[in-house]
Amino acid sequence: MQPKVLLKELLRTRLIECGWRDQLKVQCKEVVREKGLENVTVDDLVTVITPKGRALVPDSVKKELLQRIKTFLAQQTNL
Amino acid sequence: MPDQTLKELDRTVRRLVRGEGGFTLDQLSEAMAEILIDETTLAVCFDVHRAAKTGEMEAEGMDGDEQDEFRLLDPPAPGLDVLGQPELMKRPPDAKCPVCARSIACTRFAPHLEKCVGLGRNSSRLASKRIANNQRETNYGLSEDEEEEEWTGERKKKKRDKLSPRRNKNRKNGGGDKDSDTKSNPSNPSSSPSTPEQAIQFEQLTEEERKVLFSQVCGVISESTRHMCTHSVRCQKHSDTQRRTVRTALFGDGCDLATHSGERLEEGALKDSLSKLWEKASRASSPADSTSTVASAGSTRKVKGKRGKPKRVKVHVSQPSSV
Repeated sequence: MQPKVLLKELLRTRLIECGWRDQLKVQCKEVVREKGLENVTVDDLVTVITPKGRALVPDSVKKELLQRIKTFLAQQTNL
Repeated sequence: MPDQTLKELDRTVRRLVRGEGGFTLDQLSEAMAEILIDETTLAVCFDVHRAAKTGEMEAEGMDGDEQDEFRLLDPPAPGLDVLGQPELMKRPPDAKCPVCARSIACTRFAPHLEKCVGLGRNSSRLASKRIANNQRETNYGLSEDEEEEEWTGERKKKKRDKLSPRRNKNRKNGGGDKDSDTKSNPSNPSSSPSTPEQAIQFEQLTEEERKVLFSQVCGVISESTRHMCTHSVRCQKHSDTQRRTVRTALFGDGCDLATHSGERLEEGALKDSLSKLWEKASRASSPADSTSTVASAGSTRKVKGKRGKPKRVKVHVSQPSSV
């Protein structure tokens, strides 16, 4: 499997475990309620949610992710 | 947007590979981490948006917070449960009976309805019993025996438990006449009286049979209740002396008890009252029999006592005995 895919899967798992995904969903529902169920667009959501998503990632998850990336990159660039 | 960030990353990596400096590993990995996080965030956004547009959100009620009704109170206010409802307030609400128009508690509604409507087994039994009682009253008119026959009639209709220890004990005591009541136990026709027929025809027992009876039961007449004890000969409530007394009074013999020195009761009087009461008891149990009536002030008491303890024999001791 491609390393990128692997990394992504790992990140997803970690974020779900720590409840990040659920928190984010709550935020999304807020947006939906604001904008109205019928009228909400992807852009609305994305604009609002992306920065929140970044902020809500717990440090441990981020550290682990960075570690793995560094390892991967180090392998790559040594070629 | 994702494409852009990927392109950026791509550019960064190429630059690095080409040897252009300025990018630390940290910066690179940061950039990559950010990209990955953004992708995941976008995935969430797409999911929510899809749900909103396809009607999932409406269907599952996900679009708003469920505030008012179902929010759990934690900790609950005193007197309320977690859902905010008062505890123990409205217990079974009352239902209105369609027949008698009373409001009955729900838990008691089914039995009440059974009786009220009058279609079930129990209610028809009740009704026929009432009819029988009414008929009986009118039939027997104003005879003196009215009261006790009424009593015994009711007693007869009472449920007879074939397995009750009382009945079995009566069977053990040996018997007298089988009476005409259809309810009596057919399996022991010769000897066993059933519970209301415990009033064996003492009179009709021969001397021998009486002795047999006394060799089986204690027979001591209790002062307080005027009953003859029907426990075994070794019953601990009464002493051998007492047993001897009774036996002597009736038969004038020893009956393998210890030698006694108690007073002798007047045989004649005792026998008389004994036989009278046996008579009465036996007659009371089967109203079809017509024997002499013993109308006395004590009849009510005796009969009442009999009702409470049908297996006992009422013996009215006219004088103080050594019991």
